Amino acid sequence: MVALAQMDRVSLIAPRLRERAGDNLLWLIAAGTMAFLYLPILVLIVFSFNDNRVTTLPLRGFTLRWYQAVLDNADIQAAIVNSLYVATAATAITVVLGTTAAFALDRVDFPGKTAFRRLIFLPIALPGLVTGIAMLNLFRLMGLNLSLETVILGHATALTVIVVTQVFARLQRFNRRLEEASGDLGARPWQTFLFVTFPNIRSAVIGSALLSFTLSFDEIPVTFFLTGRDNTLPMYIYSTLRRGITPEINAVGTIIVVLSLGIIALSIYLLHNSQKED
Amino acid sequence: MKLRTRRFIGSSAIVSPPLLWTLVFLFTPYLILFTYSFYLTKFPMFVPAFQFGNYVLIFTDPQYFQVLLRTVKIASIVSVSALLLAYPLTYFLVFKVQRPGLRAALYMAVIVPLWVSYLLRAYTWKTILGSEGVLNSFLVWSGILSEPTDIFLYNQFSMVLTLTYIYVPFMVMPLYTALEKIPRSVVEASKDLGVGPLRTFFKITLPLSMPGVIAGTTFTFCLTFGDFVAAFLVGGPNGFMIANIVQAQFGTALNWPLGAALSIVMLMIVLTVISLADRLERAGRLDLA
Amino acid sequence: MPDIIQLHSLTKTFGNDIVAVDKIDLTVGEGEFVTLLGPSGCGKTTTLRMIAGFEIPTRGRIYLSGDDVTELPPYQRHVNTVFQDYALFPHMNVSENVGYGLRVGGVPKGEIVTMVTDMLNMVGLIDKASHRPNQLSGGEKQRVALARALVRKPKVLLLDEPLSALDAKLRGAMQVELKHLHKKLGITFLYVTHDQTEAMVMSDRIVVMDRGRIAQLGTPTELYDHPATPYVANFLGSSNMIASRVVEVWPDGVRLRFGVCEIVCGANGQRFTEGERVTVSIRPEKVAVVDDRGSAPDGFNVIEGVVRDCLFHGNSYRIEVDIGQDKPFIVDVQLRTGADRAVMPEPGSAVAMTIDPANVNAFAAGADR
Repeated sequence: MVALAQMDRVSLIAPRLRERAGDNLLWLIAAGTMAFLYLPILVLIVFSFNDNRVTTLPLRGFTLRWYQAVLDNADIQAAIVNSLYVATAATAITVVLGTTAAFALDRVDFPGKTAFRRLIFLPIALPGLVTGIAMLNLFRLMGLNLSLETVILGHATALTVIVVTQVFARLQRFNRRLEEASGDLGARPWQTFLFVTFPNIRSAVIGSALLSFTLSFDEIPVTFFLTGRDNTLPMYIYSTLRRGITPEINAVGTIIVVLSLGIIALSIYLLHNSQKED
Repeated sequence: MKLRTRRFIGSSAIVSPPLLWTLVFLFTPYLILFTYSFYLTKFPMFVPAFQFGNYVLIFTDPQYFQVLLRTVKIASIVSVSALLLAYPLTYFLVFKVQRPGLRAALYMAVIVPLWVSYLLRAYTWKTILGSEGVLNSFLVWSGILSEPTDIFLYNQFSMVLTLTYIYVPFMVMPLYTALEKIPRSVVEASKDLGVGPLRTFFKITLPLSMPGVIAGTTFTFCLTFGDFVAAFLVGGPNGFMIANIVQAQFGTALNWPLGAALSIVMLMIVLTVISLADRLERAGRLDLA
Repeated sequence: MPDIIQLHSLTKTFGNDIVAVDKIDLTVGEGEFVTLLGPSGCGKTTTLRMIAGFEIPTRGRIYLSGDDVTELPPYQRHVNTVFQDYALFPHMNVSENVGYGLRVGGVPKGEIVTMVTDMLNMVGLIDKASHRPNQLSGGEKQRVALARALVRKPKVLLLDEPLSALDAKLRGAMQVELKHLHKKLGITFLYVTHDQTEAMVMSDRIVVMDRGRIAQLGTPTELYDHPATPYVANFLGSSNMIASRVVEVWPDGVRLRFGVCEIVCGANGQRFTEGERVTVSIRPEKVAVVDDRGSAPDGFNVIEGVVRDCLFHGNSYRIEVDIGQDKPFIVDVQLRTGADRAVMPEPGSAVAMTIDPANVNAFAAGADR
């Protein structure tokens, strides 16, 4: 009798132990993957302060001279300014185009609507370089010289879809009765948009704008084919890497990573909140 | 002004700008690209023509065809590896992390690096895997190796590793959405019926998460397929992809028609994969609502 | 009383085949409380929305105070709407919501403050002035919506089922409040509801709608006592509907037969022919139970039958009587003094019922529903 009872207890424990072991294995893999994701970023940050021209272990000592080099490098600074210019202009265009497109998709039935919807998604579904090349051909045909302005046009085209999807999603959940109520109370259409519609979609617009800005700052495939004489920051880094690794890259990289992380966190926070707004 | 006219003007004002922009900067360029792919190359220029020579060249010349196959191979391996790493991580987040605040924070921690400089994240692997890099110096310092080796970099291994690293977060996103949608009650019912956790996973959880798996794998495949940055950084002579060849056609090789044809071929492959995935997803679509 | 709203042949079609509103003609006098009553899909809300300006009529004209406003957008019409889901602006507090119409109308800030405060006092929400809509109860949101619409002093207030989201008790209280508000303000109320009790409680006139058309238009009493069609008879209150045949025709009445029973009633302006099939409508509470045929008052109709069941409803009882038709005949008897309870008939017993011919309505069998 007692032996039987003991056997029962064992058969109860074994599957539970197995499940616990399975859970632990899962946790191990998950943690390992997370570490894998952050390891290179850690390497970048650590070696940006390392007193060594090459990225080898063991670490030599703390230094700020690579950051100093960045501050002394006029080319990097010009590239940063260019990138800021391009990102700002491109984001402004994407916000206007994207918001307008989102309204068009949400409210108007027009011929070619499905084709339009598919077309806007192409730049992110397809390899970026195809979009870059396609636009290069267009500009060449139009006789336009490549410059920062052509880069802006390229970015705006490729990144508009981000604003469109976010604002469209928000508009779908927006109660149109509010706009009717506003008109009913005597507000003209521009007043309704300014006082009622926009405040309710604002966080979707700003969140996607921030996202678009950051992606423009880092954009490579489209930019590669549309760049003229002036480089954006990624283009500058790209051409520097072609010549070999320099430790200033680590410093610049760390700055970019930290700033981007901040902006993206803010953007996701805003977009997440806009999903909750009612 | 009549109400109907007023509404029409309003609608047109909203629809026209984005529609026009898309027509000029998206539709027309792709059309031009398509047209160029039939042109004839007369170095260093090219002339209008309608001939399939470029396409024939792509599929017969091993110089191009093999790279095309290599690209498909690398893209497939990367998709699978990213899936194998991302799935356990996502599963852990969705099913094993109980507090919603912690789960959201961890999810953000996975996703946020995605938007941070692709170039830099790929570049860091160059510094890690190089003969003067972190990995080698660690192995030498710990005594495992007597001298640095160059097997880590500039080959298909480094390509797969770097690209997998880049795209794991990409895979996590749709997986997360799909796994979250699975009602816990379904999983619990399975366990309640006496099915063990492993079998529950394979018979219940995995099939229900298929839309996410398909979406993530397709997305990763298409993006990896068109990549040229990683190849440039860590690929070396054995690791370059079809995108690099296209790049060259518009650079030094000055063979725009061939480049255009290659682009169109890439486009077709990607669109095929996407529509296949679409069909797969629709075929197995379940309404969990 | 001048006409403040006029609808001429107003029509609205959606797509190619859905006729929501079918050539409606209606006039509403200034200061009236008129209700559009009907089930969902009858076109009442669409009519209201066309008057407000949210829908463009397919055909027909709309006049407000004599002006043709058919082509005007909502913000150019002097009507205000209270929506079914209140449509309060979630990103503004109560004061800002109420003052919104004044603000976009260019009213100076000082005046806005005064007017909003007065209005909030009138609806009893002055202490919630800085609250957000999501902090209010359903009834409070309703009052904010009212205040917001009324602060602009419109000549016409349009109300689209404003009480349907409230629970029954609150709804009853609000109905009375709205009626008092209407009397106090003296403006025209155009109300939409599917609840017939609500319509009867509050309205000066009711417009019963059916599939885009007006079935009948009149005061609550007119509609209740003399419904023009079976549809109206069934929509307001409940009715016994009996299939019968015309036996005799007089200039102002008919004699009808169903089973072995014969009753008389007025013709109500309709022309009947002998042998014609008609539907008879008798309200359950208009029927009295008597001891026998002989005790019925002179000229009253008598219907005899067997009691099937007698159900106690607290302040009344309901008798189901088998009169030889497929459906039982229902009689509602109000219990006023305790003594009445003793008279509750036993199931299985024979019973005689009398009705005043004036309380019997007959419709041609093919009439609209």
